[in-house]
Amino acid sequence: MAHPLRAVAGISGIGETPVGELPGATALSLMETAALAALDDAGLAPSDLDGLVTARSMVAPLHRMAVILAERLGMTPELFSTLEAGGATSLQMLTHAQSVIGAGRARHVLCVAADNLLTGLSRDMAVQAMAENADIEFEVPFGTFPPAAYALAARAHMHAYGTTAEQLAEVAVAARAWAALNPEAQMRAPLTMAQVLAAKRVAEPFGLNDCALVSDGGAAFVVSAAEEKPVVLILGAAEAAGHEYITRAPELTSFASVLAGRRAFAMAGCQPSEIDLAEIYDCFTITPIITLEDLGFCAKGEGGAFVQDGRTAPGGDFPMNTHGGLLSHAHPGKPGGIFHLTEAVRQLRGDAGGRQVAGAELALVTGVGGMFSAHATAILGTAR
Amino acid sequence: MTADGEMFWQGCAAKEFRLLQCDNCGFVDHMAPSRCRRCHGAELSWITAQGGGSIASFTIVRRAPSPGLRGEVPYGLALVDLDEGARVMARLAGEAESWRIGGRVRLCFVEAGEAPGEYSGGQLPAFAPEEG
Repeated sequence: MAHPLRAVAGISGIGETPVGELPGATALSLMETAALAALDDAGLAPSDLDGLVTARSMVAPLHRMAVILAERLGMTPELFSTLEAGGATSLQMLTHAQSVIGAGRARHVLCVAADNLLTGLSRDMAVQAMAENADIEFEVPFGTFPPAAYALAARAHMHAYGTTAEQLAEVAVAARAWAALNPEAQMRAPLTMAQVLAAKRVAEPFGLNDCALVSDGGAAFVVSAAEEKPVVLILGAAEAAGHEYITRAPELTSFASVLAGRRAFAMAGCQPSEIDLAEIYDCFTITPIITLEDLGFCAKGEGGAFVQDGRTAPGGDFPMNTHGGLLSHAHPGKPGGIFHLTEAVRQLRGDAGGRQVAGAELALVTGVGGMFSAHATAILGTAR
Repeated sequence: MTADGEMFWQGCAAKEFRLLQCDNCGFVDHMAPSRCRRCHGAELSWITAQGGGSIASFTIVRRAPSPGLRGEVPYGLALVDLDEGARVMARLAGEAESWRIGGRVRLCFVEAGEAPGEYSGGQLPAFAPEEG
């Protein structure tokens, strides 16, 4: 029997701000821009919305962000929430919207995430803020930060399965090749494997190009009931919370992404082999390698070989992160993963221009928050 | 700082690595849980680690996470599986060439630099590869 939430809702509109360095922008101004663009794309007015879901801003850590944005948009939604799951927040917004629509409590829910991480925080402040992703008493004093925590997973994966620095670099090179096809991307200059391997080291085995960008920007999407005939349907959407702190991770080479993936595929009623394109959260180059394994696109330990030889790059047989991902398109912090979702929608609608994946009908999107901590997976399709 | 955090860092000042053990089931844990993570027992007692363990994974940090750590890079950061059963985060000491996953290490302490938080200038737990 099909899952009751399968195809109960879809995405009826998307909107994005420019990304990169946006002097003068604030988290709220970017959220308004993205929200209005998504409403315009959906052909809706703020008064049509029953719900508003937002992510928090690191630069402006305001309480009740959803209420503030509702006020700015001139709406009085019945449902409003501000979620916090780090890089999984954007997909968590999607599952929340899908759930309330499935429960009959809403027809249209607007989801918005934006921040000005690049111009709003100095680089040192941004890195300092990211250090809060660790236990303040038992991890932070040792000098950990996200690149180090993900490096611990990368090293463990290299040790256990023979994954190489070159295979990690393939992820960055492919992301840049896609970004070169995306006029909106923050980093479009060609990037070679030799450059990735020679780049300044951050936390071994990662160099600068193995790490996500720091950006301003954001996006929004409208989730609508299936009766409203959205072109892109949510076939599966699921989450999984694992450990919070890397020291507490039960394993270092496999995470709760296994559960989020299994739940999403079960809801959608499909298999990894049926997916036409994948937008895989890529805060570091190791992240997609482990996620592809955890979701069953390949066996555990084979993720490095899976992404090798340009397989996920333009022209490869596994199109991944076709907008350039967090590594080359943009990473405004918590809202980073929202572009994976808006890109999947764009591809499924056939609107991706020079980077359009031919015949894309089924897309998978993932988000990861914390140190491989919070996971969300969505499977979107144009047909039931 | 929490009371448990205080107990741990006071231990470090005395060059002891303190862990919590469940009075009910014996499970040994780190990072100051208020309840046993295995049996949810409420009675936990502090024990002192013997100091032996093995490296679960490690990295060498070369870009300082905060301005206060600029003088410390590069440094080794590891997850160490203590012989008591708990996994802990700590610095690595000794020659970087001798650090390897699975390698046996022993507890030592290093002078803490200006790490973020309230522990500047104290004794920071570190692990060095065992000789031979």
